[in-house]
Amino acid sequence: MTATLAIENVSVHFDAGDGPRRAAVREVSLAVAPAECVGIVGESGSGKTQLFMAVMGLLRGGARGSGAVRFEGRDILGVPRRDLNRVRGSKLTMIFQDPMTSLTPHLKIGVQLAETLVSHAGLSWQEAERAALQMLERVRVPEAQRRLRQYPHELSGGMRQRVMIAMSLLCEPSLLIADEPTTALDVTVQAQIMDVLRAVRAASRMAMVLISHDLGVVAGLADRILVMYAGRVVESAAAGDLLAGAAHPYTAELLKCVPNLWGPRLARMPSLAGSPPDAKTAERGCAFAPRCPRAAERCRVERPLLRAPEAPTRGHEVACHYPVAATAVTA
Amino acid sequence: MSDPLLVVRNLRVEFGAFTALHDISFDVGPGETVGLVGESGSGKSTLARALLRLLPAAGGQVVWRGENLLAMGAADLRRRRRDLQIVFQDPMASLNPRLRVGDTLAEPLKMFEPALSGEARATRISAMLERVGLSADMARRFPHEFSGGQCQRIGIARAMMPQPKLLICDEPVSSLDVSIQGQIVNLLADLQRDLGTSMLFISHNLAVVRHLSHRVLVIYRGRLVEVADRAALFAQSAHPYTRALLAAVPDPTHAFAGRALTTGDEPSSSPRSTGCSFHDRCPHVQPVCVGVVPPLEAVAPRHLVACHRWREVVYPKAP
Amino acid sequence: MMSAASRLRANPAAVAALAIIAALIALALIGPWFNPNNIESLDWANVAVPPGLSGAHWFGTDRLGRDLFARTLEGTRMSLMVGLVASIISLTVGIGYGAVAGYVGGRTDHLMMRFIEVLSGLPLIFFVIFLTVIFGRSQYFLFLAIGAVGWLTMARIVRGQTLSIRRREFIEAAVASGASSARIILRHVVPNLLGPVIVYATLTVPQIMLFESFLSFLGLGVQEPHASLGTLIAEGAGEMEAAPWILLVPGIALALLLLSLNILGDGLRDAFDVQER
Repeated sequence: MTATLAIENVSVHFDAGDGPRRAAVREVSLAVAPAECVGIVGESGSGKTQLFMAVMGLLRGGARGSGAVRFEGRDILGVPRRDLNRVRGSKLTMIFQDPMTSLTPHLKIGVQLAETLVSHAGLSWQEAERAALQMLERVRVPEAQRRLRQYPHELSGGMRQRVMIAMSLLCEPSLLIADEPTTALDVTVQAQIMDVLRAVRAASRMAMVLISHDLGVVAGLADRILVMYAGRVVESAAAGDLLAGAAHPYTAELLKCVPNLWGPRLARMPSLAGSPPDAKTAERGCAFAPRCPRAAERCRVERPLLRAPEAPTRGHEVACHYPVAATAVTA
Repeated sequence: MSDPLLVVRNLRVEFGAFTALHDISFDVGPGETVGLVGESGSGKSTLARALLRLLPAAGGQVVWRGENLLAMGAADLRRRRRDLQIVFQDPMASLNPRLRVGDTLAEPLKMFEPALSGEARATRISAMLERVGLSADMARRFPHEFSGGQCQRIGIARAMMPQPKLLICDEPVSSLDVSIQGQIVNLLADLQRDLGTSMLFISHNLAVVRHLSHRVLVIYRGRLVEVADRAALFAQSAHPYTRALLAAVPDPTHAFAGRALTTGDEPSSSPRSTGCSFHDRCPHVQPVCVGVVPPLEAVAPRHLVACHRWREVVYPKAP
Repeated sequence: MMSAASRLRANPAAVAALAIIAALIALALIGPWFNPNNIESLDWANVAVPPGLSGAHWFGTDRLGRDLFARTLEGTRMSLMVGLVASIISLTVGIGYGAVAGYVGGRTDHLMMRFIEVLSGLPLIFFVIFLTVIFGRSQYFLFLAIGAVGWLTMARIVRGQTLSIRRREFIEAAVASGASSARIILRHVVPNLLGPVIVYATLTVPQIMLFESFLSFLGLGVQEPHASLGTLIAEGAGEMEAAPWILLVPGIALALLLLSLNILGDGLRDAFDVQER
């Protein structure tokens, strides 16, 4: 069965004028199966957003992608814009962190929604408006009919994000990429948006990629989770396996940082020391070594490759010389 | 408990016809951290600014050590600012991009301790940079050369330079990665322990508030809906909004990952002055809720709730 | 600041423009040393001679036998001085006025802006003529008059910039840390406006020079025996058919100067803009 999205050895480099070429993404490979939800977790600068900007052909500012990206079997990395636009926005859609900047401020919501259908699916304006109304109701926008006539600035953040989700679903995409969709929203609204995404997934066979720096958000929805650090994938596993026993020290530390409201109150709030390397730093050995509590000499010289650990759970891969033994995460 | 340092009574802030804060009253004692929890539109940032008169207040009092800050002249107020400092949400935006870090840190000293020599100032600046986990040579650099977490440390350093008695933190970690937030929170906890500074810690992030606060205030659309000691708030909250906030936090180690207990939409900007501000989203709403604003009532000693139905609704025990 | 400078250096057009301006300034200042002729001496033997590097007059002479090279350099010097002095005046007054109006706001701002609007409404040229009539035709007065008119737009621009800077969080932080308004304006507002202001200033210098040229063309500006590029162009216009170089030499000099200033201004704006992001 062809993967909906196959990313093979993709790197994203950019020249910054002064200084050496920097790499935001380094040789990442991953596949998203039909109807699967893959979660991508990483801090700022891990390359998670740049990777999918490359997939969507949205790289800017001198960034260049290399490698291969196939969507439903067809190459889409580096192809002419006309070919890319056949799938982009209809079968392959993306929603971003800040919906305010994704929506055109001077056009009414109804027009922006209908436009997608008119240009991609060839519907008439009336049919498109009807479909837009139905979609707004599907994403649980109250008073949908009234909203169609409103402008983006008249809507709240959560509402705009729902409109964005609606817009991305109109042409029944095979894959929806959601880049930090709830980061800018309040936690109660975040919960509502996650419900919408769950309902949408349950109703269709759409695949999803959910990108976030918050492991808790991803855990609520993803079938499989990939953890990225300094442009590389450092761990990949089924969601349940990862949460039950993270093999990479970075993932283990991230799990400790997930907000915990019910366990005993710790004296020190868990965090990671230092900060992630920026794209300028040349790679020497494992990028996480400077912050890793388990780092040894070997880690500083030899970069670990992504492979299945010794006592593998099926499909669990990690890039570490000294992976953590599987232990349950304390509740 | 000794006399509170900050006494806020009936604080009211209006923007034209829209009332951002209705009748806010609370205290902050010496060495205490009070957490203020609310989402966007709650008025929490407005409150932080109104306390420091960075915004005009329409009514009420902000009494700092016996003096009402809202009634003072400008020069007196400026002198009092030494004791009341603030750390902002966006670390990069709160630093002047054209000033070197050392100059930014020198400003409070130049204003409040003008007698200090240049050398003495430099020593204090170096000491403070190290205190917040940075190195002294960073004084020569500009804000854009630092990461978000580092800029926040600089912001904290600036706020602590005049040795304030109260530090207001307006969402200080919200714009940082989850993995870095702990660094800043632990730093604030250390500073409080070492210097005895009181804190008003404003955040929408319950886990962080739980970590730092002795007492918690929950604010929704300009009104306080619950006030309690930390343990009571997290284990036995009595307001439906607090319950919704707690339930919404995604937690991968438990069965419920981010449930939405609220119905309907988050607050629009249309003013709503009748009844409980939460009634349009509350799963337990009754007719009385729509008509009458619930007052803050005592559920237990030191635990107040503004809900008409707190006696009737039975909440499941927290797991 | 540093990164803006390096970005400017990377822009070939801007660098070329800067080089040309520098060369013109250098020429204007030290050129007369290399030229045996001065601006006044009349060489009756060589009246209206076309340019020729072999001859005594490199750029030719005008109707009265005056050396065009010397006069063009004098003209360039005069135009540059006008540009510089008028800009300094408009910058200092404009920044001061605009920053205070923008920061203080309220009724003060309202009054201050109404005042500017009233002044802007007066036709420039009549204003200058009026002042000239009262104070006579001194060239220093010319600088003052042009600068006094130029500060109006600068003040508006600075006020606009101040309004947006005032909303930024570090200003709030400065207020919260107890700084007085004066301190905030000087230490926090003004340094952050300089980027756009410098760019604007570079782009108004050409306008100022053109205005001076226009005034001089009308006979209101620089007087004999001094010359500005404007007066030279005026003279040249009269001789266009018979001795075109009398117009072309100062004309090209002015065009070159204005073009370079505009390109430099654009380059500065690009260099600063990116940093703002």
